[in-house]
Amino acid sequence: MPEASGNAPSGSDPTTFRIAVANRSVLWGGCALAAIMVCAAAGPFFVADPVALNPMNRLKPPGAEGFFGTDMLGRDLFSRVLNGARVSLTVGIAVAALSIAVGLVLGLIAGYIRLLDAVIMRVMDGLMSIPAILLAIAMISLSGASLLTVVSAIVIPEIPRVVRLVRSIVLTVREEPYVEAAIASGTKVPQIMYRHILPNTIAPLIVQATYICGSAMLLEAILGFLGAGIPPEIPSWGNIMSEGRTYFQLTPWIIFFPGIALALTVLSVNFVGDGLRDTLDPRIARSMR
Amino acid sequence: MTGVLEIEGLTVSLPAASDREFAIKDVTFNVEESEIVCIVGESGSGKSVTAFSVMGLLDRRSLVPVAGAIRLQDRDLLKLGDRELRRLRGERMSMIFQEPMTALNPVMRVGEQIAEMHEIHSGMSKPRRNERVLRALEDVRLPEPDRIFSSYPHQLSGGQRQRIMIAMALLLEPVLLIADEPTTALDVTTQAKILSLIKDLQSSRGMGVMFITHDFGVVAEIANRVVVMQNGLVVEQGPVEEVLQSPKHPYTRLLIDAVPSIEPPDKPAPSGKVALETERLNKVYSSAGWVGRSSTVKAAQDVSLTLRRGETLGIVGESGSGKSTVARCIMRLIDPTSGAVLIDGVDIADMRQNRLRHLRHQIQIVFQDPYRSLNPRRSVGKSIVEGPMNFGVPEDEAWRRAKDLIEVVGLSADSLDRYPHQFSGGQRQRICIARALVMEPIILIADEAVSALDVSVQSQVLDLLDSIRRNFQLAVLFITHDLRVAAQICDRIIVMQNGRVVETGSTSALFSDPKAPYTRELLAAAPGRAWQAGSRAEN
Repeated sequence: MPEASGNAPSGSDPTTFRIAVANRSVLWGGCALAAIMVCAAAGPFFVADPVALNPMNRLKPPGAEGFFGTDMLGRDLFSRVLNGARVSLTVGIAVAALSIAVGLVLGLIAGYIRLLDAVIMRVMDGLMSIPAILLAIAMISLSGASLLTVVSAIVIPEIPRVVRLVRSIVLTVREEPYVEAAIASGTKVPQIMYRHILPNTIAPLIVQATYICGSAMLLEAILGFLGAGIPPEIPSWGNIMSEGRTYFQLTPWIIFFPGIALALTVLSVNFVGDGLRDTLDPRIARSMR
Repeated sequence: MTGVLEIEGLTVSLPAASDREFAIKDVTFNVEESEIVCIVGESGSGKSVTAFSVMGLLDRRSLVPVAGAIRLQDRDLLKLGDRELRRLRGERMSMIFQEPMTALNPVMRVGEQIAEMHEIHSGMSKPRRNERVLRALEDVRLPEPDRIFSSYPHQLSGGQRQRIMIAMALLLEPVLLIADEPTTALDVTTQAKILSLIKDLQSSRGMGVMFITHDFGVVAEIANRVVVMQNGLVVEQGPVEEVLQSPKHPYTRLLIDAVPSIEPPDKPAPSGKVALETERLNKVYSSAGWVGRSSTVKAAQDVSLTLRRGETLGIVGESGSGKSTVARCIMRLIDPTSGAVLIDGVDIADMRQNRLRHLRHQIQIVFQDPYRSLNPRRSVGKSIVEGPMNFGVPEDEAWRRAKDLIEVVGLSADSLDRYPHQFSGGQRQRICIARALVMEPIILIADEAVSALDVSVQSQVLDLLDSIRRNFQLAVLFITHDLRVAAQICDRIIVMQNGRVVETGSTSALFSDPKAPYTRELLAAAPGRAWQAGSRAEN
């Protein structure tokens, strides 16, 4: 029986934001993430120089010599972890933004223009078969370690996932009668994309962006840990853990603090992502209410 | 006669934020042994909620029975626990659903799915189980039961799947069968067969049937008694002859009057200028597999038609007949494989898209599904002015036209600022008509434009279509599966089957003297013919 549902979902509804915040996981995840961001942005101005060596205070436990203790070169661990947050968040956000931007454009083209679909999708299949870590190691041995190489090494294998997501949405939406009605009234292709198709991709892409952000931060840490990531003169959670590995049994805090920071950050990003998925997807949202 | 099902004062509450307090209120009726009771109502009348409460399938978070009793052979179902209820479902009562396409598990052979009923409810051995299933398949008159037994659902047609559902529902010989619009998704010829099957099985087994429908033709065909529901209340009930011949409640009368008659009215022969012509239009879908095995489907074959201004031409056919393919080829939403489409004498069949775009305003379409025809994120006004502005009409002029037309289709001018979800299905279809008209087309295609609407709304939208055809001298191509609707609105009709035109003629000639056997079959299958012929003779 076709029920007349009086409250069909509408994406541009001004209450969408309020519903999203009302979701607990978005609220808590968002608060935690905001706190981490404030610490990453402002923290380094108030603490010691993260690269200042102090051989007198090597491997000190958390306490008097530093909030989190010191590492094997006597550098202040608290300051290093705070500075590492900048790297992690920058990588996470940059990877999410870049892969969504490129993936969205390619996905819209692949979904709408049949001739280019096969070409784009075969290239994407190829990209998907490149492992991110090997790509990063290859790129770093070619062009040296830098933030840019790390970000691009993570972005490249991430793009095909976004392209596939956008393409599948375009393929379903372009069959909708309202898109056909727009074609029938002579709307040009770019306008059909912008007015009728693009808005349908935004909610799923926001959710996808949070997942990409979380996994990019993890991947950056893995690369740092393997020594293929950010150069050692910039502290990142990955390379702090990598350096502390040798002393793990003696001074476990060198690995614990950046590890916990990484886990908390990724967890809060994923919380936001899960919550947004539940509230932005009208089908799930209805069954949860 | 003994009562199988007694529903007494049943009230089901709705969640707090709904438009009314109760989904159904104080519903009372009985289903006796060997009796078909039809529950009739439009969408939102609460007929499905009633059926689901009996089966104990209500969504417990939002719909709660708060008062009344449902007695199945003197046991109150509302007081039973989950386990007892689960035993009763299948053994004592069972249900068949509207959508045969989604009601079966696609990855399980149908024979095994039916046998599962025995596996769960009786400890029968596997060979005996399978033997019973084969017999059940024969009972629902499926050909080659052995082959059907080991088929997967996608290998069967909609009608066959509905027969499987019936076989499954009746396997354990329940005393009550609930049928929730079981024929709505089926073609008329299939519907007629399924209805007679249900009727035969019901009388041979003596079970009670609660049959939910919105179609008074179906009611006339099978019901013994009728319960009419509106907005969650039972407004009238009684024996079928009484309700159909002398309805007491105004709502019942409204519903019966809204059923279009299958007798076409007399209409003058159209004489306007030819607006649309197709010549030997073909559409072939072919898929080439990787290993060279290709398949082709001829969706439309050699379809030729002429449509004059001021005329309504109907294309009638069942699903898969190619009627929508023809419409989409004419609209160039898909590209025809061969043939010509002449609009005002210009062939657009293989015109390039950028030239075609300039001619798009001449031909407009209204689709079937009012819920998907409008972009939910754009206000109604923006959806309407999009077309004219594509053709360079200045913005204020386009809005002025939109304002005029929204009133022509019977909505107020402030509707333009609202969003589609604030309108009902019928209103949305009016908006779609306004969106088509604002382009000032010469041809309007209505692709099943009233099929998703309730009967009372359907007749209003049909009247609107007819009046704009007259006022704007439009050429209307009206695509439908519903012969009653076609009889009322069309001047001429084309009957299609399997992609081919089987008969063309004026509506009155086609209905009084059908030539093709398929047309005759279609006419004979229309439910409730006898009832309408009878009531007309009396008047």
